[in-house]
Amino acid sequence: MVSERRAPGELESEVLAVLWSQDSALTPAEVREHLGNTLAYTTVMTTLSRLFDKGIVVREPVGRAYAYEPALDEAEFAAARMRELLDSGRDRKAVLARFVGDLSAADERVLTGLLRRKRPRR
Amino acid sequence: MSWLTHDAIWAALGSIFAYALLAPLAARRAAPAAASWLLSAGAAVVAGYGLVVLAAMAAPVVGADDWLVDKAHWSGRVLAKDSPTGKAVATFALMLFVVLVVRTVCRAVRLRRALLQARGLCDGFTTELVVLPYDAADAYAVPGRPGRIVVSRGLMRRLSRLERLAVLEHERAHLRHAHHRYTLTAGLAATAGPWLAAVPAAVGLAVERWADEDAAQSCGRAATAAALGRVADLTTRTSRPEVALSAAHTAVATRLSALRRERPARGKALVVALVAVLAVGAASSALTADRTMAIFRLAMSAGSHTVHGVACLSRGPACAGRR
Repeated sequence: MVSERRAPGELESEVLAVLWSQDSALTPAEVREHLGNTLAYTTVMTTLSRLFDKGIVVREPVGRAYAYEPALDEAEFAAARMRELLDSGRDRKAVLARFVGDLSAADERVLTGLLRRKRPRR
Repeated sequence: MSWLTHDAIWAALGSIFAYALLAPLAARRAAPAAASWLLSAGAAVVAGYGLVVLAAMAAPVVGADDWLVDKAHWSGRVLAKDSPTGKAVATFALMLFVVLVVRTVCRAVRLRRALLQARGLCDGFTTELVVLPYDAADAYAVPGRPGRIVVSRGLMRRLSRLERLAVLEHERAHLRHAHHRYTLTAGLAATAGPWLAAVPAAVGLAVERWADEDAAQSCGRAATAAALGRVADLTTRTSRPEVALSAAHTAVATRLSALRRERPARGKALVVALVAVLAVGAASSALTADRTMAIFRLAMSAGSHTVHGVACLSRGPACAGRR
């Protein structure tokens, strides 16, 4: 279902998402594991080096490999820029497409009901 | 034949009203891509119908104004006689027309500026995905060339791998299909036609469903629904610091039930009904505009005869009889 032949840009996104989902730095082998072992080791390694070259992640040597984690100051810089866009008014926000937009009170009630029924099964 | 003007105006108003009623239904039940396109383009067109109707109601009375009659040499009497409405309604229509046009132009300028700012922001990032170090769950797409996907650390930490992928694929779909064009068009249309106030939310829902369907293609309907439910759950639980007024008000419960179906709904009947309503609106607006033009043409020819007639009289009997 999930295609292995992904564009490099999309691979970067998934690798970056994995790094942010964990609390500690990850080696390429660990990242590959988190991605379900569907990608080649070299692919993961190349993607991580690309992210490092772009300054999005930082790394430290661990044995023969590196352990990567997101560059926090890059992220904070990005956050500051996003704040600028979002704080400057309603029209700026109108330009974005949120995954889950503002929920009306009615929406929240229906939703809480639906989710409560689902939870016992998990 | 002023009864025809009235009929056409009523038909145009009826189609506007019918469209505003059908739009939210179509957003929920019709095929998402078709609904997005039809509802946003339709909204722009229907806003146009409203402006045509307002102009038709205002123009003859405005034209009958003494200053204009003097400058344009048309017959104020003909205009006043053939006007579809009285002076009070016509004046109100004129004011409304001006307010709506000014509002729309101003909003269009502001939205364009916002889009350019968003594009500049996107250019400043070097990866498709941008993660912000916030704990609140959040995910959105920023349009640009190329667009970017912005998510929060809090969301990445709380989703499984497949759920993360579903969110990414959903946002990618927004960027790939340039969904902001649909939502912004609908927003502008509602500014030009406040009777279309329900349409931007409808278009917002349609594009969200469209992106959900695309994500389901890659990750499966169950995983996408799970991701959506999870994110919505996290969103209701974690507090949102800012009060965002998003143009796309998403009805999450509707999206969840749409994903729980085996296949996306087609809603062909609704699409046909919408097209029919738009066609009726087009025909009646065209008739209204045509009739208004005819009134002015009549007034022009009556006016020139009067002017000529007056000049003739002053020149003496030799001029009489010549047209």
